[in-house]
Amino acid sequence: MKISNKILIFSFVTAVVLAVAAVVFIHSAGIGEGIAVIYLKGEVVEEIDLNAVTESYTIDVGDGNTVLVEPGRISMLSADCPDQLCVKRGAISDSLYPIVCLPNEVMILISGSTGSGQQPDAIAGR
Amino acid sequence: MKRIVCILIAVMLLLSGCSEEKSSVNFMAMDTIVTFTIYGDSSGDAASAAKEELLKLDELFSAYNEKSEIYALNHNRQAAVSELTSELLSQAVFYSELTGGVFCYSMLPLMDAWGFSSGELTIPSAEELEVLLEQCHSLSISLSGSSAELIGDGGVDLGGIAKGYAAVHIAELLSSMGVTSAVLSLGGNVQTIGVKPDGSKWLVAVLDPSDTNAYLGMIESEDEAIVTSGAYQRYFEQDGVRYHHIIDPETGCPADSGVISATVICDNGTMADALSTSLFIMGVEKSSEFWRETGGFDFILVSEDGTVFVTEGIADRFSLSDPNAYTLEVIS
Repeated sequence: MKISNKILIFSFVTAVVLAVAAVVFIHSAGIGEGIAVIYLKGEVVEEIDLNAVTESYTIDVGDGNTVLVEPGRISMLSADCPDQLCVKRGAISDSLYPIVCLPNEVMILISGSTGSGQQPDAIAGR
Repeated sequence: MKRIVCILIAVMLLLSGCSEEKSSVNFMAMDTIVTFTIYGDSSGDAASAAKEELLKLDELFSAYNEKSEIYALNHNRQAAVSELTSELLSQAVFYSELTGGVFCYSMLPLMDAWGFSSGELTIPSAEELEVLLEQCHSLSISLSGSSAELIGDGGVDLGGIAKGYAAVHIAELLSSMGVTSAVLSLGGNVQTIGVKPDGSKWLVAVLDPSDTNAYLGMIESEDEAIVTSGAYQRYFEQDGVRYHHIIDPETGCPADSGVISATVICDNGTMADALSTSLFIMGVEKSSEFWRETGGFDFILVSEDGTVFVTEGIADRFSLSDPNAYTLEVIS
């Protein structure tokens, strides 16, 4: 076998190993998991890594909503909407069911999954 | 040597195929949260196009958007309508007839009276309800080409069918763009396109109506619609009583059939949407009869006593998350 062929094979093997490592790393790191995204009128206003929160704090969203951020969870602390469904929703810590304030067009979604077990691709009824 | 190079190239190609491109968009439209997840090389463009199209449909169909065709129809009693609005109206009429009026497109005066449009609960008196019910029952739609006309009183609210119709339309748009693997979620409505990139079926969870932090169960799905109507989705509470948003066209009040969540699974998203609302109102007995007579869909009904009724067509691919929490009964 020529030296140039050996170099060629070595390059390919290295590339394959790197590609496999990259795929494994991306899966194990679970990019985007536990990130709460706050939307106001369709625009992203805040992205929070709930796993990195150590002390609770509040964020005002638009004119009428205040969001409470706590370690590992997030909730609507207060809202000036008449039905108060978003406040009654309580705190969420996974992607199962978002917090929505329809009158003020505010929503909080947690991307990825912080739960265990089999994860669905979509949820009917939410 | 050439053979080794060929094998290595094949391995590289396989590996690159493992991480197929994925695009997701989240936004609010049609009074709900919308999530589109699309796989494939042009998924980014497809997701943007799908979002744009859904916002366009929302502007056509909303009963409360002054720019919408439905708003114009309700206020002018006659309006020029696009092909999409015309088709949705004719579908609404079709499902109203199919369900013997249980699916009702003319609930606008009642939704307004209860405050579901303004967000402020008011409980209408018995006299008010009588007048409003008469209005709702008097309304019919006459369609002719690109023109629609309302006959009778009241107004059209397509909230019980528009999301399902929109999901079908978006699925068709994505297919025409070459998308073969995607899942669309419009509030309670899920539409699956093809299967996952790895060839396995989509896993769609149905929320537990008694605990919205849990799943009732999971369905394996391919190219179909799964739509759930639940009493927990929109409601008011007053003096310890919960008033939910699914109004029974017989009584004018929130439906009280003993069903707390109704899921319809079928090929047609418009049908799934219209029927999930209808079965919620009908209750278990009437829904089972209707299913036997009509066919073409499956259902999962959760009754307030903790029984889950599933039709035989779905029983094999639906599994309860916690078999101890509910009793499963198969309808045949």
